[in-house]
Amino acid sequence: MGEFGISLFTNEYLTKQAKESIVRTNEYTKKYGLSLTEKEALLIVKEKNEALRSFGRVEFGAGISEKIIMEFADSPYLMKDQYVETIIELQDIFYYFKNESLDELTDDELLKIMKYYFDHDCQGDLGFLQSTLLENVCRSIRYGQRNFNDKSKE
Amino acid sequence: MDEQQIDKKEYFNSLLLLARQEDMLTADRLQQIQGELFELLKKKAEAFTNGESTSITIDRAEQFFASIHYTIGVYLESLTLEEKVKALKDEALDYMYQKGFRKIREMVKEAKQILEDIQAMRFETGNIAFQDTLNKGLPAFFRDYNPEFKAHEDAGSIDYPLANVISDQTGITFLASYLKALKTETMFVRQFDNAVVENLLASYDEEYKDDLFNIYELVLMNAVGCELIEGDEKKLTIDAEERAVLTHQLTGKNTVELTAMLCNAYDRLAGRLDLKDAEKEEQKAYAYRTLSKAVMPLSDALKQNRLESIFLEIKKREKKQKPVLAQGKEMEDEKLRDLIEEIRDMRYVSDKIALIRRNVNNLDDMAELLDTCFFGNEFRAVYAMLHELELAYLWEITRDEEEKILNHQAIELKEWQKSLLSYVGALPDNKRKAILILMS
Repeated sequence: MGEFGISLFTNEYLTKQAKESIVRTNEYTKKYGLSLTEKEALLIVKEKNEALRSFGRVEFGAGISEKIIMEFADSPYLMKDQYVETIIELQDIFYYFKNESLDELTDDELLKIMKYYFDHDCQGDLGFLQSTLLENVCRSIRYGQRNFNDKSKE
Repeated sequence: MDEQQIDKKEYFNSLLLLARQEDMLTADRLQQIQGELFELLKKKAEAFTNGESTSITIDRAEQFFASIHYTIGVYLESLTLEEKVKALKDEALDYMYQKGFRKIREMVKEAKQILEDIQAMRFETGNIAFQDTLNKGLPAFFRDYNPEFKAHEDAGSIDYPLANVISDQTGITFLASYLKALKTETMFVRQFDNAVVENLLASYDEEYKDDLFNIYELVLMNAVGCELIEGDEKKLTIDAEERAVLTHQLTGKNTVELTAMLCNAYDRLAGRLDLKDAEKEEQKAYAYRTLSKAVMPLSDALKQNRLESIFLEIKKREKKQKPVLAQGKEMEDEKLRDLIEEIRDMRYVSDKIALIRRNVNNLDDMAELLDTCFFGNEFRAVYAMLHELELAYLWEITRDEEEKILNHQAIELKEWQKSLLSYVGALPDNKRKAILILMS
């Protein structure tokens, strides 16, 4: 559809909106000893846009970064010196599993599942989170088994 | 701006590009359009995900985008050229989208009515593609069509080919055009006796029931052929002698002359058709289009002296009947009850008969179904499919019932039995005698 097509989505306004929403999370996360500079927030947004592109997705608002930060801030396994890298990796994992679950999970459902397994079975190991537990959850969903023993609801 | 240059399949986008090429839109307006398209897409995604997802796949976004474009295109297509340009320059995209969406809903409603009109014509043919498209494929469109998220997509299963293919439209605009054309074709074909049309189709191809071809084209060509030789168009047949006359008439004419001859013949023929005034112009335009298409194949056939490939002779068909219902096992009560329920829900007698053919192997079951599932003129259609042996058996049952009435063990014959007596009574002598012999 040429210039009136989907390519109009990565624009400066959205990037600015997303960066500002990330910086605003510092109000909440500071009590956990976590905060982000503007530069770090911009890096998170740029990595998020890259993840969206590579996973074939588009976003319409400020996006998922803020939600991820708010969900994971109180995790005992979210280390201050790994804060930015962990958020970036969680974004990748999030978009990957939105696709793998065929968009059957809402954002909140997926985040809660990720958080639960991150804190419990994985104890902060993101590789374990992605390669084992979440894969099992999404396989169940693809085979139509919604009752995949969603421990995040317990 | 030349409207002919607008791509009907991508109306809005094509119009925008043309307007831009002709400097009809400022850079600011183009930017505004982009921004408003983005907002429309955002709304669509939010509606689809119930606001529960901040992202969707690119495939999904492109699908929504195409649907939005299509919907706006439907609105713009309904405007004059002047109005189109004004809308592009000044109107909010959301406004155009809402107008387009309303228009689509109106078109769906109108299309449903046209489908009902065609179904009400009760054109019964053995051609499966026609029947399946009319009774299953087209209704499925209305069931599956999604104007909110997939307005641009086709739905249902539309296999039956029209005389004039529609290749430049999609979605509801395609369906509306398809149904209009199908109605025109069916109205014309219904001018001729059903049995004669069926014989024509069988003469075209013995396997016509399973074949994929256009019925209207065959009927039109033969009717026009009959008119050219001043024959009886209602018979729809052109034998070898008559073809020789046609060959003499048509040989040596160029394509313009051939087109004129065919169209003039149609005009003379049309004067005798039972059409309302409102329908005549539509029929004429459609027939002219079809005949113009037929001129090249006709010209080739004349050169090769193979006019029999264009103007058909109806061959006498030997009715190769064999007993449809063997005296097989009776159905279990529950299965028979289920079958009765299913048949009762069916609207068309051809569907009822098809279901019986697939499921019934016993004449006592057949009698039960006749008693509970068929009414009025439907009985005749059932009897027409039965072998003399089966008619004899059912007549035996009827005779037994008549005896019971005489012995005050029954009050009156059932509706199917009365109809059977009337049907058999109207058969040619030889067939009636054959049944009597089988009964004795």
